[in-house]
Amino acid sequence: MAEKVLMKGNEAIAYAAVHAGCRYFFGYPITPQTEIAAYMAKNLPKAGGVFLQAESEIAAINMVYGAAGAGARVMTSSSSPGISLKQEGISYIAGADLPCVIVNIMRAGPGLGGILPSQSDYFQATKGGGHGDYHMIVLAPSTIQEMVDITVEAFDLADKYRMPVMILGDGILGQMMEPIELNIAKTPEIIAKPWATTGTQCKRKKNIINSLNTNAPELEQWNIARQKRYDEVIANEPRAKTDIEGADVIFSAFGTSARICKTAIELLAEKGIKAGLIRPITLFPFPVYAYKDVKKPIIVVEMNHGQMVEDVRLAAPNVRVGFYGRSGGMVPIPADIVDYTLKFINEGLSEIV
Amino acid sequence: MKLFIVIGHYGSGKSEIAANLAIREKCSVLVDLDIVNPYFRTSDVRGELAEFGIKVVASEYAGSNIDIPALPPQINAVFDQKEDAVFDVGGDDDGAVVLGRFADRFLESGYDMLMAVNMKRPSTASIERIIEMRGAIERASGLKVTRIINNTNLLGETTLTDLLAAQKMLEAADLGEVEIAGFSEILDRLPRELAARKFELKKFIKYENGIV
Repeated sequence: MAEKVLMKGNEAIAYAAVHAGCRYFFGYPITPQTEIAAYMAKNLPKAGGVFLQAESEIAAINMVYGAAGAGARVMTSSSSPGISLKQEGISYIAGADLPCVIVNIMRAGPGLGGILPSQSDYFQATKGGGHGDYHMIVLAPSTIQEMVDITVEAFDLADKYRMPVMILGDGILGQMMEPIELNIAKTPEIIAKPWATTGTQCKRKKNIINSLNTNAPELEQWNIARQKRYDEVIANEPRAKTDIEGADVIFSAFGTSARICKTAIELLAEKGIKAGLIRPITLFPFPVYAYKDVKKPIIVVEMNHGQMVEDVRLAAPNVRVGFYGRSGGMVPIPADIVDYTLKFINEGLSEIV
Repeated sequence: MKLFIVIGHYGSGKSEIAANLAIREKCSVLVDLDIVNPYFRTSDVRGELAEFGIKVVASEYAGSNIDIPALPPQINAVFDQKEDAVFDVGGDDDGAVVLGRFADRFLESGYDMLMAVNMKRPSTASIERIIEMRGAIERASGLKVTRIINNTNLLGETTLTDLLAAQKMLEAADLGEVEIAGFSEILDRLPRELAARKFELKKFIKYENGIV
């Protein structure tokens, strides 16, 4: 049996990032993600890397922009209000077609909100957040082991498609501990970056990293080329974990909410109701394929007031889709999900709680 | 007046040990000095401890969803009124800094400082790293570790083999007395020669309801 260690979600992400070849981390502390920065501060220099606590989130994301332009594997992390501050930089990074990894360990909002867990940044993560036509690949782990695997993959995906990748966790996943395998199975796929500004040595034409272009026809072509890459991402990368065989009703949830749904599924089984689960792992690209053949009603459970549910309704236009959510740092309770489910099935409850 | 201080790496089970220690030692007060981590902390189990006649002294912001690193003023009363108390300290040397403010009072009253160790946590996975962590905490707090609590675990995947392997290494390392901690399902199978060092824990700190 492989050797295991006990890690917090935040530590696991940082541990995996170092394994993935991340050697630059720029961040600013905020609960509940600070252990990522603390781990990097302690361990990145030992790996020959640079940890820098910037003067603000905005400074940090622009340092990420610079390091990414120079071809480095670079990461920043924050929690909801801090991620909002980074949006301008993220848009610039997307506009300059640069790879980087951004971690959002979500807390309750809007505004400063609270420090307790939430999933209310789904829209921000999957629909842009900053200005302009851009996307990030958004990955949603639900266990600490998955946080490790997804972090390594995030760097590979970022490099492959030259775009920012966001790991979207929440305060519970960041703070909770679970055993993980000490040796990370996945080897990072390091690819050449001929576009990086590494110095010409007078041997090649200079590379330029830039999102500004005042020539409208040319800027449109940049956008079209970028959208073509997004089409590839949408075609190749959607992922979901699906367990809906023989189910009368199907839950759909990501991250922590999916774990809570598993308990609700056990409680429903005791009442003779078989419930299934579709757990999107990629939130962008949304795993539309997973909903294609669903014939049973779906209940989306989120720690917000209904965000992913919109994508589920688009993906499953022919079935009834209900929603159960909590917010403000409140976490859905399995028994309440069961109550909602029973009403949803028996009484034809209206779709929104 | 008996004063116990529980320190260690974050995630080593300090809060769990502190709550159980307060019960075992029949203390009247548990002081939550964790100003580092606002999640999963002693002040979350105020109600359960009240049943054992143990009062929790914590920052008035604890559990209030605001992360203000403030200390409760009632701490001074614990020393003044010579109460038997357990101090649950925040993780690592960062958390132990706060002890420094009370170091004089601890030195004056006498204290027992227990270091919780989970050798399945990467930062305390070897004797070398444990000694490094102990040194950092002692420097930050101005106090000395008097005992080790071996709390080596992988939560639900904990094995007696891992716990005993850690116990052997810790005892061989000349770190002082080493108590062996765990839940009954593991400790019930403890070899007889270790019975005297057994510290059986009751589970207090829980994750959010229903997360599997």
